[in-house]
Amino acid sequence: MEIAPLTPVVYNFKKIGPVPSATDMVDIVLTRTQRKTPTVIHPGYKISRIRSFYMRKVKFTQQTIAERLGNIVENFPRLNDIHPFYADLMNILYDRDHYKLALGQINTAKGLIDSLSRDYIRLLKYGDSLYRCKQLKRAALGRMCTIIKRQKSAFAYLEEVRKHLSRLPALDPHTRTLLCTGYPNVGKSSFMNKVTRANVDVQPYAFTTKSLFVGHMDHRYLRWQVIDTPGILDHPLEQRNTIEMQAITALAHLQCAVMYFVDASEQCGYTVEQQVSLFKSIKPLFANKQLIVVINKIDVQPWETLEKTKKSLITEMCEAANCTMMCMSNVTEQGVMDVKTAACDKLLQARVEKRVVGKKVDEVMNRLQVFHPAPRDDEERTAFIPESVAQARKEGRVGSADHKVKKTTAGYGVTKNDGDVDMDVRKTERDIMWEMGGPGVYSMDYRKNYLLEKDEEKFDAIPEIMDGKNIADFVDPEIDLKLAALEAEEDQRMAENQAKNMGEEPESDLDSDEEEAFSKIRTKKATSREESRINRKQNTPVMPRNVRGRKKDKHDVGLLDSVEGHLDGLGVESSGVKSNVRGRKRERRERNDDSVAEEMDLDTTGMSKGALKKMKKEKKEAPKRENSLARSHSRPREPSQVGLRDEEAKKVATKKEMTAKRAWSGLSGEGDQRKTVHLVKWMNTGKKRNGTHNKR
Amino acid sequence: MATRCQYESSNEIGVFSALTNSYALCAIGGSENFYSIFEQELAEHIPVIHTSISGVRMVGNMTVGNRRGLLVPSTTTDQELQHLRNSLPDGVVIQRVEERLSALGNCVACNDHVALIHTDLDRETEDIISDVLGVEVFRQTVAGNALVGSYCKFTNQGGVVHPRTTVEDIEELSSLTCVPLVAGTVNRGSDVLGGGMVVNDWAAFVGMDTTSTEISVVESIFKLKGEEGGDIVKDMRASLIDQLS
Amino acid sequence: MPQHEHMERHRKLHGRRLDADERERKKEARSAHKRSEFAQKVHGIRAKLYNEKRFKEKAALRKTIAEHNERDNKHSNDDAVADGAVPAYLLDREGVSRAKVLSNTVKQKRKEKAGKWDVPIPKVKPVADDEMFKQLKTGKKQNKAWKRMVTKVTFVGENFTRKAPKYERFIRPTGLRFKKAHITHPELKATFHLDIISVKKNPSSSLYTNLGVITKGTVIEVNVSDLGLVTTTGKVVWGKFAQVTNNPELDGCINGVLLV
Repeated sequence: MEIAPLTPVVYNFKKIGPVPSATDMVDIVLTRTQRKTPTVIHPGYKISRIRSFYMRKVKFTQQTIAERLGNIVENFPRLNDIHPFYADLMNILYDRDHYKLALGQINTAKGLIDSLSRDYIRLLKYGDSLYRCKQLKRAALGRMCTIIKRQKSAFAYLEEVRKHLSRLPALDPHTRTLLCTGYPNVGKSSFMNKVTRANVDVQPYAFTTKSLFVGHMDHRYLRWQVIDTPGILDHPLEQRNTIEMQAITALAHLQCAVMYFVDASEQCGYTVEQQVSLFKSIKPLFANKQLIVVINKIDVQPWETLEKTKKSLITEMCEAANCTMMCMSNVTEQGVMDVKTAACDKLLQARVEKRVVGKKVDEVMNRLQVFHPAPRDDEERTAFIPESVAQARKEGRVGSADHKVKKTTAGYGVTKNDGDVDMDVRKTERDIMWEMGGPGVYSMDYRKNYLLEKDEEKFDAIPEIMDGKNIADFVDPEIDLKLAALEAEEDQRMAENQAKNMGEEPESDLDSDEEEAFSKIRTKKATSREESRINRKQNTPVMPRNVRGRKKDKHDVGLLDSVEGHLDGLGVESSGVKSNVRGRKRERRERNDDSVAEEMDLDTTGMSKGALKKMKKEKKEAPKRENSLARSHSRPREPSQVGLRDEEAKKVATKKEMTAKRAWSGLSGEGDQRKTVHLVKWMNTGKKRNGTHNKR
Repeated sequence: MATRCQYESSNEIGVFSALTNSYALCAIGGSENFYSIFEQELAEHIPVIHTSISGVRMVGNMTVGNRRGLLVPSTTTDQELQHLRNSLPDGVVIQRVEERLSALGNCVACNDHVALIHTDLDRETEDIISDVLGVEVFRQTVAGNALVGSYCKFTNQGGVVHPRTTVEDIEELSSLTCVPLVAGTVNRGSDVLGGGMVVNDWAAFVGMDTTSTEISVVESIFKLKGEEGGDIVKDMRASLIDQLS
Repeated sequence: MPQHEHMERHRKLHGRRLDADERERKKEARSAHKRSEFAQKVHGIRAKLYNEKRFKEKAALRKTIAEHNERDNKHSNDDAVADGAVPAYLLDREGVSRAKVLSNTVKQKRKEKAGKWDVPIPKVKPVADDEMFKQLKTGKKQNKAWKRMVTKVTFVGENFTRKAPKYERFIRPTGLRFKKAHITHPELKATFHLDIISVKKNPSSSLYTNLGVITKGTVIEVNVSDLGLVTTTGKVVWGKFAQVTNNPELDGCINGVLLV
């Protein structure tokens, strides 16, 4: 549920976007078309493609123009829609007819361009060549631009109007308004400067104020608008100039309290009679308004010493208009506030009366009265105000408007005035922040405000998790009490137990050997647990045996080696274990060897025993040797040398390879991927006159 | 005195702070400006505590409390709870509430004696509220809104309710809460009273947009200037009528 | 709050910076150099546009200078008047320079020399048939090619009805039919948007004339009743000939000159 905002719509003409000049408009539109539509077309394309290419251009241009012109027409206020005060003011300042005409012309231009683009798109459908399409597009764009150019004066006029409109004061015609009027130089602007902060120019000559000025002030919790108008002279409406007409417009259309200033001292150059006659001539404008006649400059000419005739003139005038008369002086500020208060109260009263008559006030009745409760029971429900607050109130530090508090300039840096406060105000966190480097740099330690039993415990580090448990789960505000109760109970139990077990001692039923074995088992268990823990912790990759080979080093205790120690540890006989395994292996191989020797049986007759032995040995070793030789011979050769007959060929090949490699400079081979710069001929040849060659 | 302030250019200060007669909570922000406004006014009398609730800055929305206790939603972290427990004065009980409607500040409006709660709040939560905060609990709506914490604000001395509340409703609410009530707005016509201001029996803070009329209504109904403050019925009637209708 | 002429007001209250005048003067002095630098640097379409603009500015400048100066080509030439006594038959002759007079007579003569029946565009490029027409394929198999579509702008009379498609040899598409033309009156130097009454002569071919094709150089008859022209006998003229001066199919409009 939305509540309507308290402030009604404020006319703000600052939002109207700038109106470009006609030539600028053409430039904007054409460059936009150029930028936002495709630009590449060839005569070889299908004719339908060529046609749509140019149709798009025409249509796009038209859309851009329509958008731009539409914005202008839409953003400028329509004289029929806005408040009559503003409509009249604009009529005076800019001439209603001219304004409407200019906007109308812009609108017509928009329509013309729309129909133009439609015609040309129709023609483009019959385009049979690129040339014809292009010419048609050119003609279309040209004609659109011509239409825009014809509105040159309208554009220029609207731009001027916009500039002036944006500088008009933001005047709200519906709100509470005080309006100063009177002859020139009677002190309207000075009064304005006294009650508001508008800072209007005040000069000792007539028509210093050439247009309406607005200032604001606060009174009775409300915001009031004060309007300073140019002075008006006493002549018929038709003869009034633009400056005076602004004042008349404001008087005619605004619901406000009017203060008619009369300069009794006649310093302004107009006699009291003239001023009275002006009052009479503009009297119809005061109808239905709260009127106060202000006798100004009483420091020069006090009311009491005024001539009788003039006095009577003024009083008669007031009586005839049925309005109050007040005296004041801008110089001595005598009566200024009274005038202001009187005018405000008069207007407020009138507005309230009008509202009370209507229905609207019923809707807000709940906000105008306080609903006091009927007591529901006899329970006392009192306010709770701490002693310190009551004390401070008594001293006037809290709850009174004038108690000295350091002004907060929240969000700003330390200012000169920050240090000026001469009282002992509390040093706030903000001050500390600025001392320590400002926001973003300083971070407060929130622990310093902790309210703990012992102050020194404030900054203690408390873990969040302890022994795998969340500390917060065990937090108990009454922990101390509970602990004390628990301890008491424990003590009691202990005492009871002690009493029960008096004189009795537990005894073991093991003999000494068993004890020893038992302790051994225990240590063994402990060490093995420890070992396994260590081993488990070694989180290194283990190379499988088939990769690692049989290589052994000090880190790699093979299974065989460890088995012995292990068996020893268990108390099992282990001496033959290792050799057993090795022996079996060897045996198998030896047996094989023998069989080979037998197969290769040779003639051994007629040999010496030694030679025989030698031969036998050689024969025996031969397969082994052959094996190893074969293995060494079968070593793969370099791929480049595979298939070459002999060393000569190899040399030739190497040489050739070297020469080939030299061309590639260095070590890279012909198989290596490489990408050279692709030199495009047209980019790298010819004269380079316009700029550098990489611009081409 | 009601003080105008802003939390990081937001006028909804009631979202980012909470105020009772015995402590004040304040969101952690980029700078200490907001905190220091509270500190300046209150730190002499009650602790002003920086905190977040489940890592979120909306401490005013999420919590509800009075001078006796503080209720926080179940999402509050252990560290925050610990921090609050350390910072709050003795005698203020802090309690986590397992409640589906976890924005307790929006759902509950209370002073030191009475609490109005959201109609859908759990039975257990209601019990916890009455136990921990020591208050009478009533299930109520304000101007058809179930979020009583957002749309009304009252202390032991007076209260403001949603501007669309009918006269009969205000009378009923007033008899339940046993304090004088008036309909009003903050922040230039905003009806989210709980969001726009924080107030206790002797101090108030309102959003930066609050008009002087609104401030004067607040000051007078909460009796912030002692007993002699302005009277809505007499002094401000004309201004209110002119501005409201 | 700034209201109304706030810049002027500020200037009044706080003055301008001390070197404001000096800066303005310098800026002004520098502007010629700046402009020349730009003019020398710029190229392409921008150069074209800039030169055009600059040319116009300069022309305007020359014009105003000329206006301000004494008109020296037609002023009474005191030097030419002989000193002392002058015979009677020479008395009327003031020392007027003859330049202007001469040029006027030359222009007059040229005008008279031109033939009375000349048209603004005496020669036109003939338009070939295959440029003028597009073949349309018809028939169930699309193998007949006797239909033609006119690809140029045409004028079609108001009461024209198409023949049955079977017999219609020439198609004049509605999108290319025009009813109005922009006609310039050469003496009034004014252009009017006039209704076309008929196509009188298409110089390329009589076929085109019959079809009402309008190309450059075509003579058309336009409705000039709005202009209020009167014949020597006092009747209001309503139809007059005009020659088309542009390529309507390229420009999307018909421009012409009234033949008088």
